[in-house]
Amino acid sequence: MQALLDVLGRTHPMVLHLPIGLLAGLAAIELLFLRRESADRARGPRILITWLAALSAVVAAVSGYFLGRSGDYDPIILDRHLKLGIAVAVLACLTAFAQYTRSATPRRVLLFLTLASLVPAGHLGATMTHGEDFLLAPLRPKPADTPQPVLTRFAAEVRPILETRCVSCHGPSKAKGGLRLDSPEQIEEGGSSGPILLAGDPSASEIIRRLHLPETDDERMPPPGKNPLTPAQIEILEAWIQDGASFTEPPRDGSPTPIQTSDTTPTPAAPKPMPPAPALAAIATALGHAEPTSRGEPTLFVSFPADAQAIDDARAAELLRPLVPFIADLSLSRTRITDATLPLLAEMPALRKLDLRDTAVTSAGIASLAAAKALEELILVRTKLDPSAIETLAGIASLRRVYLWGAGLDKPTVDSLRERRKDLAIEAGDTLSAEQLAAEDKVTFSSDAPPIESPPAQTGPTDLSTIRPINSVCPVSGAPVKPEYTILYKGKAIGFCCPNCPKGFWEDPDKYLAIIEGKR
Amino acid sequence: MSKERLSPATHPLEQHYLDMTRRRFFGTAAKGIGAGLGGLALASLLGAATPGNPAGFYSGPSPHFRPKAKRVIYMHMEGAPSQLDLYDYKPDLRRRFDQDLPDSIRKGQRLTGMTSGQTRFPVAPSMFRFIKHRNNQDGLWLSELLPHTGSIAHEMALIRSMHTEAINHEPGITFFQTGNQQPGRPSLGSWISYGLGSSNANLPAFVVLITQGLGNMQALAARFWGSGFLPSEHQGCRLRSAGDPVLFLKDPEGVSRADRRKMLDLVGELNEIEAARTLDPEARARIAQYEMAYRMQMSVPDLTDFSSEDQETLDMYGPDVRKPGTFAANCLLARRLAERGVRFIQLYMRGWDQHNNLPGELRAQCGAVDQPQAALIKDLRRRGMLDDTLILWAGEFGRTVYSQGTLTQDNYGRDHHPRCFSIWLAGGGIKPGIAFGETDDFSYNIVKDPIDVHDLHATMLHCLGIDHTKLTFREQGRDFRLTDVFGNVRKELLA
Repeated sequence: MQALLDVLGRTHPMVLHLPIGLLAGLAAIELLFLRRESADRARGPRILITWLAALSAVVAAVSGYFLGRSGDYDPIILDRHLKLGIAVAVLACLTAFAQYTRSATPRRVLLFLTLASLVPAGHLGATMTHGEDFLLAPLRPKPADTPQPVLTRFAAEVRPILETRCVSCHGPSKAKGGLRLDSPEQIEEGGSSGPILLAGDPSASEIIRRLHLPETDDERMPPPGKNPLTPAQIEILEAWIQDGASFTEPPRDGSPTPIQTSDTTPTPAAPKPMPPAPALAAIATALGHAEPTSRGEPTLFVSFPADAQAIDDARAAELLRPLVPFIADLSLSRTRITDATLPLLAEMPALRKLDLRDTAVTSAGIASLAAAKALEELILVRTKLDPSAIETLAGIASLRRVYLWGAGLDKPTVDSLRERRKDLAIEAGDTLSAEQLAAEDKVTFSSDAPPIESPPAQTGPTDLSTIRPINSVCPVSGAPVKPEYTILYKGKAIGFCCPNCPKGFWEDPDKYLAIIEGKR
Repeated sequence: MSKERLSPATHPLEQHYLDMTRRRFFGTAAKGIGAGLGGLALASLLGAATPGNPAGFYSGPSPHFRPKAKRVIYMHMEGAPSQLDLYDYKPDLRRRFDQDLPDSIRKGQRLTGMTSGQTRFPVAPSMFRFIKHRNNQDGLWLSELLPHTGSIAHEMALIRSMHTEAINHEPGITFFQTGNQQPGRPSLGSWISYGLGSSNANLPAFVVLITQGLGNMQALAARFWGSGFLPSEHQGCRLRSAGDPVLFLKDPEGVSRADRRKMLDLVGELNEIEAARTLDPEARARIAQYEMAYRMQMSVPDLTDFSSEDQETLDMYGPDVRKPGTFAANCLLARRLAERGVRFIQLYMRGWDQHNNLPGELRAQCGAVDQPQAALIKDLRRRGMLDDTLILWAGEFGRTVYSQGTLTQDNYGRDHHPRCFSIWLAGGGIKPGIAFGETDDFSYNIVKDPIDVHDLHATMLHCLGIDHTKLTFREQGRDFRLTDVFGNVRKELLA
């Protein structure tokens, strides 16, 4: 059963051309007999061709459905292609039924709709098999003549091979086996069966193993029937993996110039160094949290909110050392770290914000932060400082904001820092409240303010039943007035047909008043 | 299971197709194509996962751009506090006591069924004194009922020009919480949990704390913190104030922690089989929630134990702080949750629905919230946490200038008023010490800088580093957003 459905799916590329041809033929017949409807000599062939087209469209749609389930295609395009394909099949069937009607209009309209669905369906199908931009690629202007500087060995040697030989099946529009080879991150990630690279060991790397399989093997890459890579290309890949499969290594001297076979070679750029995955996993295992400071940036915000007490100096060093270049925002608040961790923090080149609240850090530890070059915000709340910390804090030129509440410094000490660093925002818990500027006396009420507009001030409740509208026709809708929907404007009672019309009236009351008075 | 299944970096649809390999599909279809197609349709109905992150090294959700705030504390005043008696200072109204509200102000706008039958709409000026506090403009007038809140005027961005579409509590709160008046959409906290993920593996990313009011209370439905169509791990977790904070969290008597662990391991295996068989993402959500509950057995008692707080801090929040469930206790709890990296802390204070006896009830309500809410802001400020915590204080709408029921010199009531009301923001990303927007002389209509609920949501997401047009979830064939097709980030409110 499974194998049969599999075969059915694979008939899609063959079957799909039948409805296209037949529908095109049908369109030709309709055009030919456009002005000779009464004769209609083509009725017999027309019915036959329509039914063949409808049948083959249904088969194409069904087989396409099963082919699409292989999961190797861009899901978004596939989804649209599938819906359009089903639309073509349904419309083709309707067209077939419409052949029996007396009038020519239904069948022609339906045929037009069928063709209108067929064209985008076919285009999307081709996009999936041949890749984005297949159709118009020859028309695109060639890339600039001046070669882009090649910054890495990967971009110089490896990427051109992948771009020309692999990415059409392992890329953005088709990711066979869950594998994409169009960016370093995705190459590192591997496919559904795992990583494809083992740095330093080409023979154990899946990508190389598959290149060397016999041509008949099912797992061979490129797959049986496609041109294999040249031995020279395989050697380049092997050498690169042997040397560590680095995406950042500079190009080798005398390295081969990039093979310019594709018209759309992307600009090679040095990939940003990324935080190592094992170090991030270790943070997560310690119930800590590391996230990018924003999407796509390699800098990190790291904190330990869940189990802060488990983090001591040794643990902090173990977890943070591999991430030193990447940490921009670090919270060690409520952990058990001491001064011993501070020198490591001072090494972090990107560190902008550091939160040491509720730790046992002292002035001696803070002293090592003098080396921190990017530090802008420092939280030392409830640490164990002494006045010597002021010297260190005044000396960190990049510092913009510091929190010192409960850090063991008295007000004169904090004020001395305020005096020395006027550009520094210092919060020491002594400026939390805004003062009162003014206060009202006793409140007294009166009603002596003049009314806003002309309606005379009503004293006491008005008996609405005595008010009669001056108009009999609603000024907004023109329908007869119902007296229960009456409002007062400029002392005049104006009636409406429903509770919604007064809204319209208030948009421009005088205009409507003029209408009413003109009509009276 | 393939490794991609565990990585939320993939588009949900793509993820689904990755799961639905050819072999799996035919495996499911072994009993006939019909069953396979049925399973497929069913599985397609269930959305999946979290929004992706194209930075290859990191698979969790993350902000679109560098955020100012990392978390939110949202104090919702359920029932709708009167802007006229608290924030929107209209001294001239005192000379219009008991005058009729002019038609040119009301403009025939709809009223609730509670006052539409009134024969007249007498203007009820606020009977409370106002006090001017220093802020970063020319000072801020606030009611004498909020003296402590006045002391944080320099931190607040008071918006007097908020408006909403709903005129009753249920749709009003639903609109504020989910961006839509109809129930069923995910709440703000769920969107933020979905968009930013959790930073504390031991606690839910979205926690709800409720305080019973002292005035007229309205129903509070659990769907206000529901996750709608988002995966259910994003729904708010309510911490109860009496007894166990989380129901059914404690092990029953006679069950040791080791026994519990063994039981969870076994149930986890069974759920894993179910997840592999049906691809239902809810099976995995269930495993995750069992595991979190196990860890919460340890983390929640530590969270709710105030013995580590010093006396000065407790005094700052006021005498009620010792009573679990009071607004004071919940404000302190909110700070402790914020310290523990919880993304979205939702406080509800009930009892603001003053249709009658407003002066007395409002005095009691303000007495319960004023000191704690100011203490929370100051406590966050001195701990260096206000810069990355976004604060929102809001009711679901405002109250009318005219009195509902009898108006006397010292008593009146006010009906629901959606056309203008006052809320405030503070903290991460918000411009401190400003008042924004203006209403007319009757606090009935907005005359300058109106802000609607979608604008508020868009602006809050912006502070959290999220582009509100890009945080989407595909459901029933289209991408949904918190702000639907509306919402503008109001730069005037940003620091």
